[in-house]
This record gives sequence, C-alpha cells and structure tokens, in this order.
Amino acid sequence: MNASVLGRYVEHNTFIHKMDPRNKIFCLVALMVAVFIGYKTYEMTFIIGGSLAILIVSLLLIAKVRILDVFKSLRVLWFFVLLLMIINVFAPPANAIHIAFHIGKKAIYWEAIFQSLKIILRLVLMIMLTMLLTATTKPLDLTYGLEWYMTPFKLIKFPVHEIAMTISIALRFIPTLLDETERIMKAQSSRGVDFKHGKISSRLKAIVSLIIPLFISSFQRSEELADSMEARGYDPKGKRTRYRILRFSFGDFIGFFLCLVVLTATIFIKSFKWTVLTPHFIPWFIIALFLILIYMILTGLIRAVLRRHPKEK
Amino acid sequence: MPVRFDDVFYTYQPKSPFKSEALRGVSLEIKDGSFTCIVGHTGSGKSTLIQQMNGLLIPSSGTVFVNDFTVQKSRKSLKNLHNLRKEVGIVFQFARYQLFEETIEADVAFGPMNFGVKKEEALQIAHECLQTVGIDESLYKRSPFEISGGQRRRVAIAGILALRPKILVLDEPTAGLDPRGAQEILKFFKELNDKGTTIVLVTHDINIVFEYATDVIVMNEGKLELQCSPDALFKEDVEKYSLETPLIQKTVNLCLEKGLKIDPSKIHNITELAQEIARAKK
Repeated sequence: MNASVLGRYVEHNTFIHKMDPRNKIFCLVALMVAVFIGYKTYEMTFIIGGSLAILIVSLLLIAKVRILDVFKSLRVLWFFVLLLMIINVFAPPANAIHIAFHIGKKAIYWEAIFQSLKIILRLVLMIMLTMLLTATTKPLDLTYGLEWYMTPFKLIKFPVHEIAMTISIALRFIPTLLDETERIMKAQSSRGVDFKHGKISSRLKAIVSLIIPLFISSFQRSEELADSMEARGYDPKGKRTRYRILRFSFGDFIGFFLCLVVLTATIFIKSFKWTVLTPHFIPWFIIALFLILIYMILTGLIRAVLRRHPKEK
Repeated sequence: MPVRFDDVFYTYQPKSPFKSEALRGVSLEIKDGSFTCIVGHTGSGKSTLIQQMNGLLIPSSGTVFVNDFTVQKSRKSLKNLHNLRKEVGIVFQFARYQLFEETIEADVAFGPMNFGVKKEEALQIAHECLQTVGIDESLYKRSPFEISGGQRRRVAIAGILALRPKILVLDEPTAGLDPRGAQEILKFFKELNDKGTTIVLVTHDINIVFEYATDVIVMNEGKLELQCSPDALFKEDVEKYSLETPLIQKTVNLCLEKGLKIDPSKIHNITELAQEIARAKK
C-alpha cells in the first residue's frame, strides 16, 4: 500500500522486462561506468551526458517506467542536491577562471556552476539507471543474477547461496516492512502521536514509539519465516534446482552489444586525442554517433518485438 | 452530532500502477450512542472506512463529519486532526503495532500524555482503564511483551480508552482471542456502550452482530450495500449479501419450521431464545 516508487518492480511485458537479469546487471554496470567517465572539457561532458540521458530516458520509456516516478524519487534527494550546489559554487575548482557573476564581493565562476551541474546530471542518470533495473527485474531474478556473478567465489568456500538467499529475503521484505511502518504510524497516530510536528524531544519519543514495534514485529516475522522454511525442508547446504532457468536470448545479445558499444565509445572519446579534427567537428560527430546508437537500439527492439510476436496468418 | 459520511471516495496510490479504489461514494450516518457493526468481505473497504473517521486517511473526495470536526481534502481541516483523534479512538487488529513502552501502565499512559495530560494524572487514568479491561494490578509493572496475546489486546484497548474517546472504533477485536476472552471483551464493549460511548465494530462474526449491534452497515466492493437495524437485516435472507446466518437465527428458523410458535422479534440472545422455546412448549 505504501507509495514508495523507488526500487519497486512494476509488472509490464516489455523487451527490457524479458531480458536476462544477468545481462541487465552487466548493462547497468557498463552504462554506469559510461555515465561516470570524466572528460577534459565541460562541453564534452554535457554533450556526452546529454546523449546518455537521451538513451536512458528512451530506455525508461521503452520499459514503461513513468518519468514522473523518477522525479518523485529524486524529490527525496533535493536537499542533498542543494547542499552540493552551494558547496560547489562557493568553493570553486582550482582551475576556475571564467567569472559568471558576483554575489557581494564573492566571484562565482562558470566552472563551479558547470561542476555542480555535472554532478547533478550524473546523480539523476544514476538513479534513472537503478530504477530501470529494479522496475523491470523481479527481486528474485535480480538475486539469481547476483548469485550467478558470485559463482566463482564458491571455489574459495564463500557462502554464495546463503548470501543470495539473505539478499532476496531482505528485498522481499522491504515492501512488507514499509506497510508495517505505515500501520504502526497509524496505530500510534490514533494515540495522539504527531510524527510531523512538535518539539524535538516529543518527536524523538514518536520515533521510539515507531521503531520498537517495528523491531518486535520484524523479529517475530523472521522467526516465523525461519520456522516455515525449515518446515518445508529448506537446507542451505542442499543442492537446489531452479524453477526458472535463465536464458540468454537474441534480445539480450543486442542489449549486451549496445551497452558494450556505449561504454567503448565513451572510453574511446575520452582517450582519443583530437588533433586531426577541428574542434567544431567534435560535437557533431558525437551527436551523429549517438543518433546511430539510438537507431540501432530501435532496430534491435523492432527485431526483438517481431521475433516474439510473429504476424498471425 | 454523530458521524456522517457524505459521498466519500478513497483511492489508494492514485496516479500510479498500484492504484486501487477502496471507497466509491459512501454516504452513511452513525448515530450517537449506537453499537454499530460493519460487516463485509475482505477488501470491501471496511478498514478504509473506519480510518476516515479519525483522519488517518483523508477522503479523496467527499466529506466526513465527526461531532464538530470536518475531515476533507483541504488544509484547514487537516490542522484539527490531533484533537479529532481524542474524540475518535481506533483500536487496530494487531496489538503488536502499538505497544512499545517498558511497562504496561506506561504504555497506556502514553496516549493521554500525548494530549498534554500530566504524568501522574495519566498514570491514574491508565490504572482505571486497565482495571476496566480486566488487567490484574500485579501486571502493571510488567513489560507488555511478556503477557499473553489476549492480555496484550486488552492493554492495547486500554491504551485507546485512556484517551476517553466519545466514539470507540474497533477493527476485529475478537480475532485470535479464545471464545471466553472474546465474550468477556464484547460484554465489556456493551457496558461501555450503555454508559454512552458510541461503539463502531468491524467484524466477520455475524453472531456478534446478532447479539450486540443496534445498527448494521454492510459494505461491498467499496460501496454501502445496506444500513439498517439487525432485526431488519435478519428478517431478509442475509446470504444474498454473502453473510452467514447467525446460529441463533438458524435455531429460530428451525424451530419455526418444526412448528414451534415462537416470536423471532423477541429473541436477541441465547437466554431469550431458551425462554421463548420454553414459553412455546407450554
């Protein structure tokens, strides 16, 4: 019942939902690296950042994640963003030379403004990517994916399965705990607790009245869960089979390839010395490159859709 | 003034994929001093309905009037919620969502203290309330987590009673209690009701409705299906509202079928049933 949007799986039947979770984890990491690569000039940063933003937003649209929800989850971070802005603007980077304007006697540099915009852009893109993953992947599939990546650690007797199980249970219980929190808040509000207003001391008491029942109820739940798992013969050491077998499909291959291309392209752009090309050429080249990329994604999508829904005759 | 719902709609998580309409145009009135039972399927909107009464949920559209308070979607009405919660006390189904203090008496005193009552006075009220719900004095200093489920339920009820609400709303207070505990607690609600407190009780147990209610509200899929007196309800075939026929009513029906001339309108509990049968036999 809780209205939290961040990190909740939303059932849809899209290409991205159907992708292999292992692949999605790889793609997330690849795109995340691409987002966080730094460039020498701010122009470059923003052009590439903007292209990545277009790419990620179109992916969100394809996955039917509502952009409004993304901004709703960003709302929580506004204070953080504001703080970042202030610190960055008033403590400019060492190489700042271009003065934008003055506040009193303090000069505000363009570099500082760009720097904070860059951080905000990265933050937004990072959240969008994470949301893309969690909104399109069932928590259980996500842990399967993580478990798959951790498989090599089994060789050094690392309890991979146990950890994956713990993570999946933890993920499974987030919505339950949120519901529970809401219920407790309602029960305590009925007794006159005010969670939103009042003095610090009374609000502290309000929090205590929320946390203690929450703990008690979680302990109770975990005990019940452990009992019911044991009752059904769960054994962490036992060999287990899977109901759902992860498969790498053609669509996965396309997604994998595209993310690889994006990652390579960004790294390439970063390391390439543009001695031959005129500076004016660079932005156009990058825009063209990303237009091609988007085109390729669309083609891949159409192919995947056609493959999955062949025309009925 | 009683509780009045005026065309109340409530939607959980509007404008999201998880959107669900819980109330769809409910208008009803709960009279002062009545013992009103709310029945209906799981998911028929009973719990949503009661949470509107003390402003835990604010109607998406429509208005709820409680005594002198108005609950609706406007800033002005939201300021008064704190005081409204003193008028209407809601006891939720699970006591574990409410108890947190180190001792039982402190937990019960917590409510009044939130409304500005001094500690000594609050403890005084707590003792009174614990006595009324039948918690032994030896338990007052114990932790609320050491006692049995039934006793915990009572402590939770005492915690709300300590606010001295004019309207007491209970969400399935007998669920998970043993039959004797359930009977005791219901008798206790009846006593409170006789003293003038309005009782609103959500239940699945139709026998409770038969024996205690002065008013019945039947909910179905977020709409008010029926509001009437229990006598009027049980005259009809209640199974068409997917309710069970109460045991006493079943017995009455069987007796009538077998030709015993008893008067159903005089029967409200098991004693009266026995009396009527005895009278008819003579």
